[in-house]
Amino acid sequence: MRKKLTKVMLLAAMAMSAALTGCGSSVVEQAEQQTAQQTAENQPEESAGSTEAAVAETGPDLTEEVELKFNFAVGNKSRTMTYNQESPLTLPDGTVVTAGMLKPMWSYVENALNCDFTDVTVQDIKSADMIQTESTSNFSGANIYGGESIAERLMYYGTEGKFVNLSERMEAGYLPNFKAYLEENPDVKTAITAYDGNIYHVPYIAEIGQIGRSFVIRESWVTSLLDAENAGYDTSDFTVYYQGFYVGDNKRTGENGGTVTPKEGVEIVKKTDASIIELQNALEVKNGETLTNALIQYIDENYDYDKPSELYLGEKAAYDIDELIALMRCIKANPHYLTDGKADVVWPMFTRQSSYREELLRLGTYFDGVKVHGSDSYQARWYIDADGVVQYTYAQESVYDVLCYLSDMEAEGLIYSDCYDLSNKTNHRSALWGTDEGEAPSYGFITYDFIASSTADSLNPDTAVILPPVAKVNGVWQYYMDNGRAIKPDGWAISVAGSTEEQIQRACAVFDYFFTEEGFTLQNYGLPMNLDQENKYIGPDGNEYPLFTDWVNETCNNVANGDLSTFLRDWMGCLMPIGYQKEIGFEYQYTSERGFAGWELLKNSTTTIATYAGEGPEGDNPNYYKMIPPVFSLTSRQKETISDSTSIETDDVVEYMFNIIRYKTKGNAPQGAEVAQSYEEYLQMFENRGLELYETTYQTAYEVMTSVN
Amino acid sequence: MKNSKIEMRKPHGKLILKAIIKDWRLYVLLLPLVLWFAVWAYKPMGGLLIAFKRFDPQYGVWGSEFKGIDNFINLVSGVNKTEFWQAFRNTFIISAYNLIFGFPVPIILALLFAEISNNFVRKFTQTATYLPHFLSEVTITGITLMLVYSGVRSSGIIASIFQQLGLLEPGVSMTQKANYFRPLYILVGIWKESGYNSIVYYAAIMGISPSLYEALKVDGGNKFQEIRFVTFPGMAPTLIIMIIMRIGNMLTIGYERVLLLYNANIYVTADVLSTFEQRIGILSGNYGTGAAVSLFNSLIAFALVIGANTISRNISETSLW
Repeated sequence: MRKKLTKVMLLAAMAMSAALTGCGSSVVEQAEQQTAQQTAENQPEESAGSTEAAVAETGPDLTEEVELKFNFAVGNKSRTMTYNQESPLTLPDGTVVTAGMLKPMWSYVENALNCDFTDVTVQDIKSADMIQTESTSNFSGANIYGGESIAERLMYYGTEGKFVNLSERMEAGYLPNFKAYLEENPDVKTAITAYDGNIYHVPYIAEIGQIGRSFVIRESWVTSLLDAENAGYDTSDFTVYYQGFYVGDNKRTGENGGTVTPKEGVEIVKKTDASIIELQNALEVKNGETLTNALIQYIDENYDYDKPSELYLGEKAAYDIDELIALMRCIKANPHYLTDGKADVVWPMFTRQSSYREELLRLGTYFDGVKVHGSDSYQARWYIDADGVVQYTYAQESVYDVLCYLSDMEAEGLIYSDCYDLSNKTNHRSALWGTDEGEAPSYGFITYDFIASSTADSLNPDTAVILPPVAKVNGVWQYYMDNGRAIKPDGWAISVAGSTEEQIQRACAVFDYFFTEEGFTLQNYGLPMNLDQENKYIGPDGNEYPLFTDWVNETCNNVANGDLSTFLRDWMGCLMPIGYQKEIGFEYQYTSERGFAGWELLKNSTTTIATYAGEGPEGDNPNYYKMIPPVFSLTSRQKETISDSTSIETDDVVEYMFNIIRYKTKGNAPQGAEVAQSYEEYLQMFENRGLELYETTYQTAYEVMTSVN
Repeated sequence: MKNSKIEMRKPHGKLILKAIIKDWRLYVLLLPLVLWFAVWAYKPMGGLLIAFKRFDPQYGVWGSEFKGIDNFINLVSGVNKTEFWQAFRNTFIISAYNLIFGFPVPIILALLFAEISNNFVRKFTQTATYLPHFLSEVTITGITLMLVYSGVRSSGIIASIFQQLGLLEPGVSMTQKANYFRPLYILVGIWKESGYNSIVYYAAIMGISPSLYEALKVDGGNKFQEIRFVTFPGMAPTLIIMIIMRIGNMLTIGYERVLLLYNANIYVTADVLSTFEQRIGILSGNYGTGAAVSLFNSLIAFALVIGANTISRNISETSLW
């Protein structure tokens, strides 16, 4: 019996030691020989001394291996530093990555900077929860903390002395590349500077200066509706609610009319003394046939296009919001015609998921340039008025008006009614664009989303990018999308309590590494072995980008259904919301031909987007269209004021706004759903929640933020 | 007599020690429960101090700034007052509904079980009714949401029936309508817990002497008279204890089911103190106010238990203490 027990124990010990050996073998160890030479080349020169000048001149001292613990939480175990896929990944050099190991990119960095990385993250924990939990131990459990939407907390705890003051470190010669980056990008510096004038975190910076999302449609529906001869339109009755925007005093005649320029050299005269909405509303019989014929006749009479569809498609597009709604009505009223009788109902407008319903609010831009979000983030709800004062967009009368217009559209069935319910987790884009050939197809027409994924061949080969509606933005008729890529409220910081001086210096080196060319490429595209070392990819913008090898494309197709973004994140460890500058080159490389056509269309047009400098849109008040940093650095007292005396940052505020869209026009609000019948009532809700104090507090924070830079 | 007086004068500590030594096995059995209460019920009470502080996790409970009763004032008359009183009202209403509709069902079930003479059938039905109790709240609410879901592409069976009856507009989910929340919550609760809760009443019924039933039969009593004059009086102590405990828990609506079923549109009927506390305390990071909600809740529950116990003692001579 004892012998048997001894054998069992011996076996268990062997199994355990084998398992531990497996756990401990990182990609680096497996590929040590292959990468040793490369690493030596990659390592920055070792500094001889420890003086500040020496650090600045020669880079960090990487002689000794330093252990660094990371707590980087994103609420999704697939997106952490640790490889959490069920199937192992075999890299081109034969290295096998299995669950529990560091993802390849992190192993590479670990090796390049002579560190020993340990991921101590509770893999599925949300960033905010992680920060709350770790704050109780003064962030002593790791050296580097990071995640999504935590910039405000990193700044707050930084001012409390919990995170390393990176400004001081930069002064001392550390983080030279990051320092240079900030000097070149003062908007980023402003956005991440805490109220005490110091920087405590390195942010994730999206492709600043690039378009975030754009309008994508089913192209053939427009041509078959507007260009086809003897079309068999539907004749079922259609009820109208929307009364038009360019009507009455706002008619596009006289000074309010004129010429628009979608592209340099292309001028479209809008002889719009007639309103298509009024024309459609005045029809005695309203159905697919009459509404569409009215629109075609209107285009023929008011424009000089070869084909009516050109009002919407291609580089000569010059439609405004009323003309877009008129088209949506035609689509809604012609389900049988457009789907060959497969569907009784089609949905003109939808968002990818219910959680993206705020995208609907972006139509506000096209009702005379109303500001709603500004940047890609729904939390970006501020604008600077002509007096330099921050204003909360959601509480403005113009936004209330937009909600009422959207409510008219909802009543006409122009917006997919499943878009509002947050408990619905369906991917509406897949349902409404990706089921045409299925047994129970559903059909949608237009959405506002990212180009690459929306024009993927696997989704629907009929989708195409169009120019945004032309609108009076900043008082001038122009093409504008209030949705530029932004500095994200994500990033990372170095713990004071959890780190020795040696670890702080090495953590600085890690942070800085991603602002070197090598680190930048690594985080955006992956390992050198995954990139074609001889050829470059030429993007539609004419720029050169690293070109992925066939291995990347093939493996991505096999394991991630061709979604390169997911593959790089979840398998390789790239594109994580750590402190780095994201580049668009990877996205270009999985964009379809129609997607490229979309990029080209937008690039060659006069369309401008929101920027931090406020440059782009013409007009006299660039402040209004200036992007505001995603978070403001609040003092302890300001945080207390916001949490104790206001209740604006709650989800029921957004629900309240969407109740207006869903129920105001139809008057069918269910019991319990509050619907503001006037702007006064709407504003009252915000005032009851402490709007004035909320704005005053943020104004103070904004003034401090802008004055310390 | 003299000896007993001497016995009485023995120090109290010694008596207790003697009793413990005598019945040490029982005290060992009691120990885990005492430890459980000490660790999970008494020690956390120190955290109630948060209700009087501007709690910042980095400074801990003792290190955070003292604010007096500011959090309570903020709650009852500050910017959160509407939500707080709404949650307070909902908690009471849902509890009252639970008491009215949820409390009798396990009793009825127990009475029915007691009347089933076939052992196999009784055990089978009992087990079948207990089963939902062992499913997690997430599973139960997931099934519920599926049944009441109503969307453009599909609808759950209950939502479809309601639509057919004209009680629900197509495309409108029942979970988006405030008036459906409370019935839904109560019904799901009954489905999940009534079988399991019937155990205690069934045990009480089983404890009633059969001779009492036989005597009533001899006197010519029918089935309803058996229940009226034997079963109910026999169950009375259990019923009263259970109702006191129920009243004590009136402000303790389980937050899990509410959290899983509700949304911002139906806060007006669905938001209860525990979910309000979770939103304001955890999600908004306003720990002090969250703790104030919790303390307020506990104090009222405490008062309710004492009140119910006193009333019960006076009218039925059965009480918890």
